[in-house]
Amino acid sequence: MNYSALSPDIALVILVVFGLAWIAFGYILGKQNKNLEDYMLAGRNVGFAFAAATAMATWVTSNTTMTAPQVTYELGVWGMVGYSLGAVGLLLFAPLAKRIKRLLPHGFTSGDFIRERFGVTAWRVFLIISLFYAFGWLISLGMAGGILVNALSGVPYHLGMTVILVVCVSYTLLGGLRAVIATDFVQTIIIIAGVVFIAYLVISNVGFERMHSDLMAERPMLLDLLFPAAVMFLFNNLLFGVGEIFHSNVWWSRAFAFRESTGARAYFVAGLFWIPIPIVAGFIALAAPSLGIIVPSSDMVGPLVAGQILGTTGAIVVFIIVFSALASSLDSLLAATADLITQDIYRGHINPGASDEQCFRAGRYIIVGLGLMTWILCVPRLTTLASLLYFTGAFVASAIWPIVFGLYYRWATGLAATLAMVCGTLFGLMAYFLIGYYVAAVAACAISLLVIVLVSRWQDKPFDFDALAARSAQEANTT
Amino acid sequence: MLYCLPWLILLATNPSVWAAENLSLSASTTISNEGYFVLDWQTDSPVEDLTLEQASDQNFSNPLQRSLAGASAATITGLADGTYFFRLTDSNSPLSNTVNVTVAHHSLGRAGSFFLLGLVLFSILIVTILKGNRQAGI
Repeated sequence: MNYSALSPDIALVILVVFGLAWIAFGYILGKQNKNLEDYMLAGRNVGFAFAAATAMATWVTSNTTMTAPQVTYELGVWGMVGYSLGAVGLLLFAPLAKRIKRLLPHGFTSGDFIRERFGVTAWRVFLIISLFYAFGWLISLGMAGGILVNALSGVPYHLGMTVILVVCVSYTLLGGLRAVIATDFVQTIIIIAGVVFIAYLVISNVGFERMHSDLMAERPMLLDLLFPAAVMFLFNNLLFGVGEIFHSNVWWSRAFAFRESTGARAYFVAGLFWIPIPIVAGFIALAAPSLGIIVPSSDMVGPLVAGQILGTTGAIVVFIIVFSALASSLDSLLAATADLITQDIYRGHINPGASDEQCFRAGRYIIVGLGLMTWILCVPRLTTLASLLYFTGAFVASAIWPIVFGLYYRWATGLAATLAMVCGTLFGLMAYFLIGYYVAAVAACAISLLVIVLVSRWQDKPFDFDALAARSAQEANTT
Repeated sequence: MLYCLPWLILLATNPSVWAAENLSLSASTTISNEGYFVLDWQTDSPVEDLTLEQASDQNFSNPLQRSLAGASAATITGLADGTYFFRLTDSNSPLSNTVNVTVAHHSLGRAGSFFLLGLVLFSILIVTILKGNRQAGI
């Protein structure tokens, strides 16, 4: 049986109250932005508490709160555990953040590094991958907003999705990265407190024994540790998470924004705090059969179960948590993608001589444009969240080795990085369509590794890291 | 003509018989390698006590029943290898066509290969970063 746990009126009141609070926050913090560096990178001076909170809040997203239940509902216990392996990306990015800050102390985007390290062709291929992923993630966030509101309150999908997008675009536009990080801090506190509350309610309302016996009778594979698709999913999700974080400007812009002494620690702590969240979020999906819930689309299972077992109060808490999680990721992604487009497309390709003032202005138009584009692409609701998200796995996993080898090793060449990204993506997409979404990232990562090593060894053109640091400093002086 | 009269009366008085003509059940796939798929159905008017029956034989002996209450689709997950039959019923009679879906999970050999490949890639990644950090003096 299905019903809406919240009335549409309550849902809209929550959306409006929290939305206005975030927008007001963005407006107040935006007043402190004096120049482009303030707007894009929060003055490059973010301390540990804010740094750890923003890293964690950004990684707790619709993917965690909505897709973790979905993969648990589809792939069982391994789906839940596999999802929590997404934390590995944050943990491994900790040492990379330090290296990034040291190599490019004046850098703005991940694109800056690829251009300087591997040349223009690799940079363009990387931009395509990065923007494709960013749009995939933005659409999944927008869709998740609409699905959440609809599943919990019956408010039409399009209305909920539109309100959430408008709120996030507004405060990101007003406050830049500074507002994003500050709201992330508040949102992190809400998410952690809310998840603890939900875990308590779930354990006290639904017994493990009943869930276990119902699953064994109706859905035996969800508890089977040799569930083949789930076994394949484990490392696929780990590598997908690594690919997402290593390549995305969301994480690079934070590496540039954090103080050098705090970046690595912040990413490590954020990763540790993140691990239990998908376990808790995913676990509740296993209660669906016991509760007799019919799940029309598997990406709705989280809110449907939460709404039913937690009642109106619980549904309000879930609503606020997921809204916070969505907002904390949507704003980060909007800001980081706008930075990438401003710096790498506008300044890099369209107007190379653009001043900081022009980039500042262009960045604002780009945020609005991104919001509008996301809205248009969210309207048709073409697929489920997991299918959409893991489609991008083929793209991002192909960028893991170019980033890692590019940051640390002289022998990796531009041609090798370009071919690794192209071949890895193509092979990952083949695996996605021929086998399933749960193998795309592994396949892309494997081919990318093979190509970058073979082609680099064949070319044998060592790179000069000292020249990279010198060029970065020179560019900072000229701008 | 008189021979048909009881059937005509039954058609005119039993709404579930009318509904049977309106309910068309379909599955998102006929073969699933993951044990999950979506069933959906179209109806012109809501049917009370609509139930989804699942069985492992065509005769629906010992079916698993799920109450649908207003839903128009259901995602089924976690099924083991086998062929499953589905139909919609009200309290006691079938209202839709029967669909069947065969679940044939990937082989454990294939699953193990991807698992091992992932493990090897992850191990290489860890070693690469640790070695790189040491060389860079971080």
